[in-house]
Amino acid sequence: MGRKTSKSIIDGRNISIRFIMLLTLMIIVILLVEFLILQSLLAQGENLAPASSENIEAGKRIYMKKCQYCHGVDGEGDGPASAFLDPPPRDLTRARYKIISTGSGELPTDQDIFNVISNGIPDTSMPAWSSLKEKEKWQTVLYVKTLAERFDWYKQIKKVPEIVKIANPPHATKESIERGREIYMKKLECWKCHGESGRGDGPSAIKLTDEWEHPIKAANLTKPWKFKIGSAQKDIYRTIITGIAGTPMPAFLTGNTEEELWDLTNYVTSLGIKNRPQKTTVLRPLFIPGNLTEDLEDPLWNGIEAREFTLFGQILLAPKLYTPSINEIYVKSIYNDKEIAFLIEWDDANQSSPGTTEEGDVIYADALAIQFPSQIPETPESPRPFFLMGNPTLPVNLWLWNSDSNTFMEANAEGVNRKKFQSEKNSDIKGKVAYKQGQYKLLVKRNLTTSDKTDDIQMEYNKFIPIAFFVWDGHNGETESKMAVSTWHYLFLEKKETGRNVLYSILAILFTIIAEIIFVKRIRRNAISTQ
Amino acid sequence: MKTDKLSQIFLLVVAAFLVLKYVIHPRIPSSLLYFYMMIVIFAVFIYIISDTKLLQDFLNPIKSIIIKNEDPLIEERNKEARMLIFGLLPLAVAVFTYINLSVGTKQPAELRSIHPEPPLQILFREKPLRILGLKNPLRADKKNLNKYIEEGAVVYFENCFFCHGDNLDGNGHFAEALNPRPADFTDPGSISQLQESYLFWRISKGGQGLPAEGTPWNSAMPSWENVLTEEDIWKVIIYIYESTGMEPRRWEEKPLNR
Ligand code: HEC
Ligand code: HEC
Ligand code: HEC
Repeated sequence: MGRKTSKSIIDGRNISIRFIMLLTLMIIVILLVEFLILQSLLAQGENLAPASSENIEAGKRIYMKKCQYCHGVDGEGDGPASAFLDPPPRDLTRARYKIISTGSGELPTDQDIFNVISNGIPDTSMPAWSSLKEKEKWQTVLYVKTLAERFDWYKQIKKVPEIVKIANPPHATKESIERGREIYMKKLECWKCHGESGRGDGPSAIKLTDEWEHPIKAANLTKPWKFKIGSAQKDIYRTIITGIAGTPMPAFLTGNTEEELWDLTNYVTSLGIKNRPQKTTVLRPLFIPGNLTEDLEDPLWNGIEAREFTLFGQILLAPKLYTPSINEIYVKSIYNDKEIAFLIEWDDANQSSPGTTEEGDVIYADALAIQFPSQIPETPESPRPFFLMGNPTLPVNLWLWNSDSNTFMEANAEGVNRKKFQSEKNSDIKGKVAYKQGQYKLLVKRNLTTSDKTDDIQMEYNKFIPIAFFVWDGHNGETESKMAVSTWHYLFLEKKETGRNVLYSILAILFTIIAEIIFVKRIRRNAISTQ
Repeated sequence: MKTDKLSQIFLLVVAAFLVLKYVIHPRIPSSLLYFYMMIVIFAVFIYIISDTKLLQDFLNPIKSIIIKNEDPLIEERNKEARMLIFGLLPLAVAVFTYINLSVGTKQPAELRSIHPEPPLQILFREKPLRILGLKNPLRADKKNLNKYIEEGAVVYFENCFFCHGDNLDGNGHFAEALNPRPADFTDPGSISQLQESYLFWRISKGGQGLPAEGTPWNSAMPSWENVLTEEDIWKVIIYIYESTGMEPRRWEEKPLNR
């Protein structure tokens, strides 16, 4: 009997080895074919849609279906969505393009327009059109070019814009970055728009407009992932030498040596946040054995990883905010047996104190709120207050700060317009705020539990506590329900229960061993009885 | 191959796990994954004990290790195998228990029924509307369909694309901040499985109008009842179907299991 079995096992093995070999071969063949097809597609590239009238017609159909709602029927950037966007959709009739491989202010190549349609523009509503096929994109390029006379004119005078070649970047040494800083601060004075730390808070940045008189912000150089042209060394170099057409961002090619321009590039790169904080659904504060610091600049904070919370404009209830100016905040948190503290950082190019400007624009206070439900829901599945400041049956507890009074206050709300401040005596939070070079730093602290059990959130260990954030930028007309908001996330204060966990694990070992013994005993007994 | 039943069954269970964990999109939350794996293992178990022959095949390799063998050489090997398996098993269980108990690694599973049963009737601006059997009144007016599509598009681009995206794929420029993410209308499992009246209900009442099983209480879908007119909503519904090339489910069809 033993022999027979071993033989059939060997047979089975042979079969499965042959089968696996066959499978591998098939996969290789499939991959190869796919690769070849892709190659041929890529090689065809530009020829996919020659400038025939059929292709332009096809491009027009796509434009009318996909693009006109932003860029307008005639390409003037006045589609129905345009009123709600910042930056607004481009007026394509003037052929002023930002992302080009050609010289300053020049027309883009077809490939440039194709790339914009394929990749979209970061940090704007211009999406990447992955839903369009390669050929359709080329057809759209043809149609987009008919919207501006300038393309036609270039064709008539047979002008072809030259492509700007950029050499390989030199190594970014410390000295190069240091020289770049001099250029940034003194020679070319980039800081006047982009600010000393690069947060777009320079003195000239306050009332910038583009060619269409739309307000425009100087880019925040600490967040390179939002760059439109790109954040690679070569991209930044290109931005500096060609500028950005249609915007106040000038071209700085003349009067500077190539070395100086690379030094500047390296300095701009060095301004970017090194490790972009990650997003999370659950914020886990760090346990600190001693007292919690009340110092915004305590080196302790450097050792704590920040988390990003992405915000969106409050467009659920009127009055709405379609174009929030603050899109993310970074949060660090610590706790001990008694207290919890949050350190929140966000970029805001203007520190606002309420009033009216010379031009008559109303400025509101900058503000921030942390929101908790007044009572922790039993389980994560239990009903939660509406994330926009609660509802009458499930109120929320708000920890508020604003730049007007520069005080911290607690409030309770049963809806956006149903907010009640707690009396000063009842308010248990305290904190500190600093504004420096385009950035707010806010520290707020409270005891884990308070005496007011109905209105104040009582922090509990090992529970998922809903948490949300709201931010207002007073210079952007943000006040009351016009605010940047997050939906609910969780706060989780971990209390290590090592003892309990070890106990349960030992129990698990015991149970398994008992089960094993019973199992083995039974099988052996059965074997004996059948013999 | 017959003697290999044990490894076949083992491979089947592993394959089921891999498919559930990595192939299916969107990702199944881990608590649900455990539940599905329990079902798979239970099904395999039933399958094995349903047939004595199969059960024998299944148990033989196990028995051959456990039962003392006459041959001292084989017995020596079996003993090692026994020690290894029966020693490692409790250890593995303990480690698994410990990891599971260390709450730090967990995050609540936000199970939600994406398409909960709609109410039979809603109040739209205080006017009762029967959702059950309700049809899009504008579809009857075939002559003006193109006009409605055009007007629906304008409604969409003035109100919805921030979240649902220009491509209607749920990737608007606010989508990154939302959890749950905005509905992807281009997903074949989405609007083509729904009647237009279902969309009407969802658009009118938004995330706050969802029943308990439909929400982790976090949907940012606004309620449009007091912003858009009844006709606007029917128009934007037509636009959503038209633009994604999908057909709404009709009332005559037998309800599928949503
Ligand atoms: C949701 C609105 C929206 C839609 C839909 C849209 N765009 Fe845009 N598009 C924009 C915005 C906003 C900008 C300007 C961004 C900026 O100035 O930084 C832009 C810019 C552009 C540019 C200028 C690129 C450059 O280098 O300066 C081109 C070309 C363009 N869009 C083409 C298209 C085409 C083609 C489609 C349709 C397939 C389309 N857009 C659909 C919003 C949109
Ligand atoms: C007059 C104001 C002004 C000055 C001076 C200025 N910039 Fe800018 N810069 C802008 C504006 C406005 C934008 C944003 C353009 C946009 O969003 O389309 C910008 C954008 C940028 C970007 C981002 C490009 C991208 O891909 O999105 C970089 C990098 C940059 N500037 C670098 C510099 C450097 C380096 C200098 C100094 C040599 C400088 N800027 C001087 C106004 C200015
Ligand atoms: C603030 C962002 C936001 C806006 C604006 C918005 N939605 Fe939604 N919508 C969502 C989210 C998030 C969901 C998914 C959660 C849910 O089902 O409630 C959703 C779900 C839906 C659903 C349910 C789809 C399904 O498969 O069940 C429909 C229909 C819908 N939205 C239509 C619209 C229409 C039409 C508009 C414009 C009039 C609109 N939405 C505007 C965020 C938004």
